[in-house]
Amino acid sequence: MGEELSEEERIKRFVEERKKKAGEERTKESGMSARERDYTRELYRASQKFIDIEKGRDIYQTMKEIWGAEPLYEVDEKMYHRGGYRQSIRKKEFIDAGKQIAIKRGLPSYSRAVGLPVGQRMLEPMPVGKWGITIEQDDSHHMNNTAIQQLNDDIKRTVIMNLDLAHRMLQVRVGKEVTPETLNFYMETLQHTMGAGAVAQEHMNEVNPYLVKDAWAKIITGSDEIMDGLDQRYYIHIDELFHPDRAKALKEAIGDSIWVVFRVPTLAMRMGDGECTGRWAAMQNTMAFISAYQLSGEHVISDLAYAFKHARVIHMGDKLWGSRVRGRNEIGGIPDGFIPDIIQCERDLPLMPYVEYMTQDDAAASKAMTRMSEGIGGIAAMLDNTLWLGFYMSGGIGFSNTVATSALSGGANEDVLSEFSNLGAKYLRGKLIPAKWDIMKVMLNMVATYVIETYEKFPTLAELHWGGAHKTSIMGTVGAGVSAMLTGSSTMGLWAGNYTIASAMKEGWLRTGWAGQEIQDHMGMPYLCSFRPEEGNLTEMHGENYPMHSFSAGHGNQRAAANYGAMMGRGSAWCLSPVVKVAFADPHLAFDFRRPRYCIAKAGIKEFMPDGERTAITPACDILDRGILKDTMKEIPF
Amino acid sequence: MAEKTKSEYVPNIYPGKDTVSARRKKLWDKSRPLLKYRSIAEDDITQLLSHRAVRSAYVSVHPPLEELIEPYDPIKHIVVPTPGTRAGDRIRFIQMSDSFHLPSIAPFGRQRLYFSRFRGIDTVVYSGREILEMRERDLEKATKMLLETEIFNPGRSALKGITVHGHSLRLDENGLMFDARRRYIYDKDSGEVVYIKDQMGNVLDVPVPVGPPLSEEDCKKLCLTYSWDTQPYKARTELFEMMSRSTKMRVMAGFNPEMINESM
Repeated sequence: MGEELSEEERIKRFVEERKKKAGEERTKESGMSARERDYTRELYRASQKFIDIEKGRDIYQTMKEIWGAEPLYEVDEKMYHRGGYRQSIRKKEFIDAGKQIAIKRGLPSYSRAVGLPVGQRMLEPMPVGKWGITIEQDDSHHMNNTAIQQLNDDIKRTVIMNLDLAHRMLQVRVGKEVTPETLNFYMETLQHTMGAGAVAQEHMNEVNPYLVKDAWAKIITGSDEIMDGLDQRYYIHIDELFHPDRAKALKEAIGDSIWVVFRVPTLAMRMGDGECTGRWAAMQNTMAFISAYQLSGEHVISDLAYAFKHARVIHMGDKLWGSRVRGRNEIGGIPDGFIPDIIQCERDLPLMPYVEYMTQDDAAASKAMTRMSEGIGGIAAMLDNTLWLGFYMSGGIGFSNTVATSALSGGANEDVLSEFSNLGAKYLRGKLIPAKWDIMKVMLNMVATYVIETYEKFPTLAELHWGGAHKTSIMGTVGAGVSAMLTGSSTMGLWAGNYTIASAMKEGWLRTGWAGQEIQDHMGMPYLCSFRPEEGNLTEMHGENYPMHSFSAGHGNQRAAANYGAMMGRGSAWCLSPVVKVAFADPHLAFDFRRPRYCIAKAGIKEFMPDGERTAITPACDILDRGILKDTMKEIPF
Repeated sequence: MAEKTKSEYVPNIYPGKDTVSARRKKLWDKSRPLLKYRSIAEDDITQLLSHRAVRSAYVSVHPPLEELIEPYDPIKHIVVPTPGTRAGDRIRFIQMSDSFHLPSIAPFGRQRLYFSRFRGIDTVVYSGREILEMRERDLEKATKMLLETEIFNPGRSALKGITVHGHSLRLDENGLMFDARRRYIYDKDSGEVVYIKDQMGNVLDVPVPVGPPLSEEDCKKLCLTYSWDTQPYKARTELFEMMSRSTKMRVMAGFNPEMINESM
């Protein structure tokens, strides 16, 4: 039976209860309970025990080198007292150049008197890769970096044509013999015509060979017999350039077909666009055929031209849709699957699935991860962030460049990836993980939280990757790359990348980057796993040209990591095309697709020599006089 | 048979029972008032926003709704206009930036709070900033709440209408978030953060103090994001299960909702 209480007592008790409850609420709202305080304090104390371990990581050394301060400390005591732009050698050079140009041309140029004051925070130097080269952020702007320009140029000026159809036409319809001798003669002629040298008509305008010294063509074939008959200068030596296992796989895939990879002059492609590449190559190839095989008559020549322009040709990029219209061979049209083929970083590694590397030793697994990071950071990030989003789409905004450069910084990304490799080597024991979400999510959560915690532990790393897009780019790449390498599935890789950004990162920090996640990482999920044409497609066939996504900075790395990681995860020698894979192994290319970050670093210190110079036809003069000499022409009367 | 009692739907707001989840549940639940930490005069708020001169009349872009004759629209009978809309105010904005280091609120946290607690808004989330657009007088009212309550840490949240860079940088010597335009400084005499410029970086005639920065302990207590040394993220099993499930459902059943089942 309940206690009988008088009305007064009941009211008194009620008031006391209310007071007690209100007090509890107030404690909960305004103060920390004793238990909470203990929990926080204990955890904080426990976390201090791991500081020494953190100090042993590569990332600690890298951050120390960059910032010259304690990497784990979240206060920068010199902030606002760093001397503004004067702390940067490059900025000071820009100021001087801006003044000189303004005086010379009579119009203002670069000036720090406008806009906001620069350099109140530290304008940190950036070590690229692990080559021991440190550059300034400005040096990685695509306008300042000749290697990034050459990367762009070398892809856009490449087109690959198949000769089998042409040879069949010659033999069946014209009755010509195709022999090693004729092929060699044709290739010699082709080196001449690729530089716009005339072969069929007498009175033609020709091009100064110094301007087109970067124009050539080379044969790609998988047949040793054909290669034996060819002049060694005219084909790409697969056996020498690739690991024997990879070379064998590539040669088997290419077979007896004969392909020719054309490098159109950088200057020609720049004057026109990527679309000019196919036209130039087809024209000069047809002329080489006409000359080498003594052809005449409209029917066979027009059919040859058709074969080279349309029927048997691989362009590096498809044309884009209406609102972003550009011709073929432009960055926006490159299928995602071609990017791992363009990247050459893994080509000297043994051909086996990534998990088998893990069984060998930690160093081998780390090496494979580092190679993936090299390719994604040096090529995919540049193509997507710097060139496509930052240049083509945004009109030269510098922000995208900084996002891309976050993928360049050595010692930061590799640290996370190699830690993971070591961990995987312990637990996976050489077995591919099934591409099942319920299994993968466990591994993925571990990786995602590891990267998240790394940013939390190292305020200097958070400052280096100062924008959400920078962190998104790294998070997505690590999530996608690791999952793809473990499963061999690019779809699972992309799925993991989207999850890492849109769920793990977003819910942990309540922030992502550059407003793109609602439209790509969430919406992209159903699309990426549906192969019905109106919904999705194979991951390798996606690209900037893929209409289901609205891409934002940082996602290019993720997509490339999914595809490149899956290729290495499966133990494949190529991703989408063995011919493209071989084409970019060509040692004549100015940009080294095997060591992209090295090229970019060299360009940052002005030691990379690009193609496409015009000095052969410009006056010898001081850099300031270039473009201003035209004034003297105005004084000459007609 | 007794009639089944109707149970009222109570939104869970957010998964998990840890401190950070509890914070999120509170901030995004409009039925729970936010604690007031400081008072900022309305005129000061007008100055900080820099959209109109202090005590000047609101500029309107259309006549008051009562004076407008508009075509019939049933939605207009359902939705009660906000005061600013009724008066025809301009749409103005406030942009807030929150530090990466133990913030009392963060961009997606703001977005969910705005959607939950305000009406007549447009908002965009970025990594380090969050813009909120409203009719001018509604915005001023909302700003008062944003600056006076527990979600504002003067040291690690800031009004940055332009040049928002700095959320992810290390803190300055006084523990303040970086601001390239130096809109706010730490007054060592009063121990308060003082705005010497408005949100667009124009110098104010009279500086506006917004209170002292929260102590490190308060920062940890009020932090809305997980952190490795205070509230570790990786231990949040319920949250990860929820995220994992929503991801799987989105992928597997995005085009095939009929595939959703209990096992997912």
